[in-house]
Amino acid sequence: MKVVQLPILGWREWVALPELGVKRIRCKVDTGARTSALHAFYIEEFTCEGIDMVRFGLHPVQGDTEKELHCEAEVFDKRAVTDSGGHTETRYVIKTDVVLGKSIWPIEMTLTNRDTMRFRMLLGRTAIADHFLVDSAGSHLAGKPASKPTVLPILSYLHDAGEEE
Amino acid sequence: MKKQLSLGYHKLFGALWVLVLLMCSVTAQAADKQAIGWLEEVRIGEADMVFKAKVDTGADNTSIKANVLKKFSRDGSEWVRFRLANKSGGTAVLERKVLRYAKIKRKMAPSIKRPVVKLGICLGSVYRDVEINLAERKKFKYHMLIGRSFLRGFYLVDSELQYTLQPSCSGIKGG
Repeated sequence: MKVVQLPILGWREWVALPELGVKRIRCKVDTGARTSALHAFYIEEFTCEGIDMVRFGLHPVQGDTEKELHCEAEVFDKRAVTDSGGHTETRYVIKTDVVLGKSIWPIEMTLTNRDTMRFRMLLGRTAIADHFLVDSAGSHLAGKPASKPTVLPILSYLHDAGEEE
Repeated sequence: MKKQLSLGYHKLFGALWVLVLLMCSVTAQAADKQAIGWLEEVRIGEADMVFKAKVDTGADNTSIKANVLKKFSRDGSEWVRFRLANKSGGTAVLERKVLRYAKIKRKMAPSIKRPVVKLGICLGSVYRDVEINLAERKKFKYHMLIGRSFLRGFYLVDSELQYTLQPSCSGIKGG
């Protein structure tokens, strides 16, 4: 039983991804997805001083394929992920800070081509477990991503069997 | 004139009171929402069966794995006969009126249409008649997905929790 009630998020929220240079991106808060996902319209792997890296392109604005952002991140993992249509693909996983409201904390995120879907980012269960509750009746309850956010404690990631969105 | 003025104040005071009461009830509603896990057991009363459901704030609506056996016409409406099966080996065949078709958008695949029917669902001690679309979900671990339209106004989802409730709706067949 939790004594303190966790802060409540809506099913849609604005977040920032400062390490990727994303000031604002709208995400769907998705308790049906284990891992968070970011839409990338291209992904290329490269090596930098012996470290596996990915370079990828983002369309950070929903419904806009003109605006582009090019990002680089270290490859944290590669994982088989099954999407909501039942298709399994191997995805790159990166670890990056997310700013939501007044909080900042690191999350794992898979890279996928979500161009056909409405949201360019999904915030999944493991990213929010222990931090927030989700209210399906609300949207943007956390407000704008703060410029000086407070660090949340790092979680030991939960692992339920298999991957599923 | 004086009387009119006092009447005006009275009205204003009344309106303020209504506003205060409204605000209180809205706050109470927010606080009344129950936190549930991302997995919960639900009972479909008419089928007397328990299903494991994924509580999915990413889904608009609620869906259940079903085999559509037949579509037919009854009293000028379209009906559907379908079979439900849960993981403990229970099966049931039900007939329902098709309320509409839900368009399901899929990633990298053409969208599909699923029949939407009304089914009685028991979650915890709350029984509700809700709209559910019948999905031929083959590859998924959970037979049921509970979406936002079911959760809205009633529940908050805690991604840390699983199976917090026992379906026990009194007075409902199989509850």
